[in-house]
Amino acid sequence: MIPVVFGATLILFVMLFALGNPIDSIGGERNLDRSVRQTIIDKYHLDDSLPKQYISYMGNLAKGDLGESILQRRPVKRILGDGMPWSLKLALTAIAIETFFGIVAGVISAVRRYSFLDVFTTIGTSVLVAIPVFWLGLMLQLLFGVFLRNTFIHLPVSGVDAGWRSFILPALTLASVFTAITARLTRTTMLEVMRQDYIRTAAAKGLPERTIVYKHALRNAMIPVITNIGLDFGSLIGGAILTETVFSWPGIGRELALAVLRKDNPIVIGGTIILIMAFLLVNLLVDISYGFLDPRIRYD
Amino acid sequence: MDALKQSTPVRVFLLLFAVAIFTAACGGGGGTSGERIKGGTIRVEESEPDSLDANTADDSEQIVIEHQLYRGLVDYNNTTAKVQPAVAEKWDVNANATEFTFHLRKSAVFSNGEPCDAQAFVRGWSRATSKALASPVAYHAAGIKGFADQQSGKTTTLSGIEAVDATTFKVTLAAPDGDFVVRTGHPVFSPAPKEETIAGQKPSWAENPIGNGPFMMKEAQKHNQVISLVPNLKYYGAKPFAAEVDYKIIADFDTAYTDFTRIPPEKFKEAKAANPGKYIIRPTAGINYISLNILNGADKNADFRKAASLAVDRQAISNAAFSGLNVPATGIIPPALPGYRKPDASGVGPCKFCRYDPTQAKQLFTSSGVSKTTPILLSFNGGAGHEIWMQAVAKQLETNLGVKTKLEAFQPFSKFITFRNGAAANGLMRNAWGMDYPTPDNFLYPLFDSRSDSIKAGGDNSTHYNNPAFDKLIDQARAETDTAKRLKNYQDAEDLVLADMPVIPMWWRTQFRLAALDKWGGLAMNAFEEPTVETAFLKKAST
Amino acid sequence: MAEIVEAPVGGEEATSAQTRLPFESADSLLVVRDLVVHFHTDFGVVKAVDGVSYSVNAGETLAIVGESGSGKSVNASAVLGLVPPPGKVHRGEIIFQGQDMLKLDDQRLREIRGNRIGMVFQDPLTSLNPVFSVGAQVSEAVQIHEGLARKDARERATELLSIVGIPRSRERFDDYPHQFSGGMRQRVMIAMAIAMKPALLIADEPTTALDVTVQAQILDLLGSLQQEFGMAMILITHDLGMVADQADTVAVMYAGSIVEYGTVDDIYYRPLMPYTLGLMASVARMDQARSGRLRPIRGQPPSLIFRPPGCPFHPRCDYAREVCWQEQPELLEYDQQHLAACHFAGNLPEPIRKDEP
Repeated sequence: MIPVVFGATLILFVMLFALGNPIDSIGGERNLDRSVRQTIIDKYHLDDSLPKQYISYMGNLAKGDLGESILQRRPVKRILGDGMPWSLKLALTAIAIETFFGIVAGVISAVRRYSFLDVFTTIGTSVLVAIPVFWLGLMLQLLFGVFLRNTFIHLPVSGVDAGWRSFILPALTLASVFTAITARLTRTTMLEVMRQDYIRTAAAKGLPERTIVYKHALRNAMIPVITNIGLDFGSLIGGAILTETVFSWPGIGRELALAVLRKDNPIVIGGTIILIMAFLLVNLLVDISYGFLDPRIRYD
Repeated sequence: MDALKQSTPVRVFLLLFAVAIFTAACGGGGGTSGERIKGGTIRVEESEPDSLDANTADDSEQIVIEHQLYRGLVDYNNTTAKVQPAVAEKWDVNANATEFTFHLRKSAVFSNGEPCDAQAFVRGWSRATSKALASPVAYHAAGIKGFADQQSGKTTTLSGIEAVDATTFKVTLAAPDGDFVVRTGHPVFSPAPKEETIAGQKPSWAENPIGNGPFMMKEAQKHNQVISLVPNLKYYGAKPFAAEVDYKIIADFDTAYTDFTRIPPEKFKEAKAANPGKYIIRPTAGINYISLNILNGADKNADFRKAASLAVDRQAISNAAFSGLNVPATGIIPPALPGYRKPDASGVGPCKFCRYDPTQAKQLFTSSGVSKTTPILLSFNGGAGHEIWMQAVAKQLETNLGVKTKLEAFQPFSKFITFRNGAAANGLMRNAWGMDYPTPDNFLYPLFDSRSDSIKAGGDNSTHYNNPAFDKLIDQARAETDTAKRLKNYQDAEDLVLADMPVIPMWWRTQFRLAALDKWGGLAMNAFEEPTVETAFLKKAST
Repeated sequence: MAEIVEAPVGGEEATSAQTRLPFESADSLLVVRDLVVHFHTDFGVVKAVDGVSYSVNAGETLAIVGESGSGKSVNASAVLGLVPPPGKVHRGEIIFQGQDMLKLDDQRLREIRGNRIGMVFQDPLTSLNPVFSVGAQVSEAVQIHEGLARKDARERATELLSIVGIPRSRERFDDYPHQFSGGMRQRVMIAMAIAMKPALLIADEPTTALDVTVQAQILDLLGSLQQEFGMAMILITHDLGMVADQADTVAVMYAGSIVEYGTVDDIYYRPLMPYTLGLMASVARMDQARSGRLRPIRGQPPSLIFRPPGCPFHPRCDYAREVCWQEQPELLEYDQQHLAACHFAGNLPEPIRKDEP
């Protein structure tokens, strides 16, 4: 994990350094007064050389200090700390949607292969994978926020102040591509598993189809699917940039996107480190959980 | 000017739907009655400000909040933008406008009960200029004695200010500035409570500040969600009617739920038609213009600059690109400011070259001797909605002057600013300026004074206009304590600029807002483009 | 080849498909008549089983012998209604204990599967579900048919595991298939198959995937279980040598059809047609002195989509004459209860091609 963090921060530092001094993004149309400019540069060591900035950053990082945002003037740790719970909650909701709908759709289309539902799922997943997330978000907002505005299924289209209802559209949007991929993966692995000899064995035992599909086949098919969903979770935490922007979600994805646009480098670097660690942590958890799903790995 | 948050393409796209949403939202009409009802929550569309620390207030999203949380020595009339007494009831100026003595009202307190006396201003101003805070807006105090020592960290108290007694606050400037009082209404000049109060605020001062204005924080800022204000019952002035103001941090879209909403200019006609009686249009103190680099290429030639200005049909472009919302500029000092001069019956104001006259444009261009074959560069920051009108300008230059043009969109924004400020700048460059405080000086000194040159002094004079007569008029104006004479000096300075045309004024900034005027009385837009929530009242008890 | 069984050469009457098969009797547990199984693939119709008839009597063993691709496994799957898609039983009847399996609904079929007919598959590693413990997989077989409580099923499964010779069966109950050796896995498979003391056990190449040393043990186990429970058995194999001790009757399959059918002694000592001869020559026989090197049958089994004209074996046959690629021989009874499909059955001419070096 540590080499990854080192590598990633170094690359980020070089890239951000190449993009110019963040001081330029303070003040907008107006030029910062020279003395004020110098004062801010001194405070944040913006004129230091790249190696010097990097070493001092890594030194602080070792102490658990992610620095302070140049524009927001708050500790990066607190900025990300405010956003993280919202990002996590959204990611968990999306994962729940992905898991439920993805697996159900995948199993149905595998078991009822070439049926209407299978064809419907296949087309549906292709469409979902192809639709850009932000466009889907906009369309959902238009549908549930405008066209259905005066009906009981009207849904909030931004922010988080409507309780669980606030989660529906962003989570659906965020989950869309992942759900489609999970459905596809479930279908493929289910079909693969259904061809296995042990499924024939189960049938030869006289088990009903339901038991064969939902016990013997699903349990095996779930190994790659759950692994994939676990890894999705890692990407979902940080991958919600577009969704969070479209739905005004107060998570770290949006914070990060804004920071990139505004060259608020401490947030960009700190946020990236947090996301890398989250991703690695999730990977680790997935690896561990693998053993619980597949006895062959548990005992090896 | 306030750093207006940049539009992203996504934002613009989202806003296209905003109109539809709002239309759907405003179904029923509101009743009218003269009664002013207390209570109700006003919801205002807002983008996340970087901080709520008044002493660092550098963008409009932040200033709109500070104007409700704080009252400085003076504030500005919501309708006329004229300076009016706030914490300072009256003030005296010495003969050469270098010493200002403010007499504070006794009743001013912070919302936590601490007195808002002269000492509070000493604390606030010292804090705003300190090295420790490194405030991006500290330069507003640059004219005060001791500013440099504060910035360098040599001192921690600004030496040019003094609490003579609890209600007497004295300011000494390094150079005369007759309009200094006007500046003090900017949030950077806000008073501050005791240091331990600032340090003790949870989760931090910048998220949960304590002020002395009509409203106070209901709770700490909820990042990316909402900033809620409630009336400050200890405020010395008239208490607000509304029980709460929620500045909803909604990225761009969810306009249906707010009472005061920004709409992009290109959608304003549609929004206006869909919401009769529920919108506000007003010119605000800003100007959109094209700047040139008078030290480089064709831009050096005054006849070329004048020809280019005359060749542009401002009204036609406004109609095409902004549904006619933007009003053609007729000078430099905008209508909302003192010193503004109305155009005559034929539509010509102080700027003699701002009318549309292709014939004279052609003549001037011919006499300028500028080559027709070398393309004129037209540059702007891309992705922010400037493409259409810059293209229209290019087209008119080609048609009316017979020149070739070349368009270039710079991204990101900072890259454009770097280009525009630098020595290599050339051609016609998009530019805009908004006020910090309502004084003509704010539109003249930064943009045209040689001491504000973008290369030599790091200022905002990117045209490198350098006219000793202009600089002298600014100095005279600043040293002048008589308001009428001072304004005359500024107008004379404006005339000098307009005779040389280092810029091509395009439009007065005009703003459109959707506002729930059916529900709220006393809700208007002030010259800072802010909703006047402190005077808003419910027209009838809401259900 | 529509009709399978004809009257003996020069016989007075042709027997119809509904008449008795050679070994059919009142005790016949299973009678398969004219079974046709086709796979509809993108490349054409694979005629995996093309009109096969045989019978198995209670307590007896029928060996179905043939190379891979001869349709013997599909034939066995069809008995349990487990032909994998896109395969379909096209025609025929499978009478088990007087009921036509092909006419039963799912529910009734499931009552027979694993209960009255048990099945053991070729590869015990892939045939056991890797994510369930062996004990769970065995008890499932008991639970489904007897509706035993979990605890009782566990007891019964443990008992079954020790019956098939798994040492420390109680301890190993919760182990997973990958923790067992190949032979032990096959014993688990057998435990599952015999859990309900079925009347018929179908063993589809039960030893093919195993080490040679283990093969005999498994065969012994199957034999002794058969004795103990009085089961009939269909033993499917490509190894004619393996069945000598076990089988009562043998059906040799080639290209989806039975080409020789008779008692084990007839097949071994009096083979009637060249393919059977070839099979005999290609296996080590323990009951005969080593007479020479093993000779594999040359060539490849034919495509089941584009079957060679005439006798499907003729391209590989050392004895083939013109008639062999012009006319398809029918399966005819040449001797008492000894049938063969060959133009020169029992009367082979000189081989045209000798052994190539």
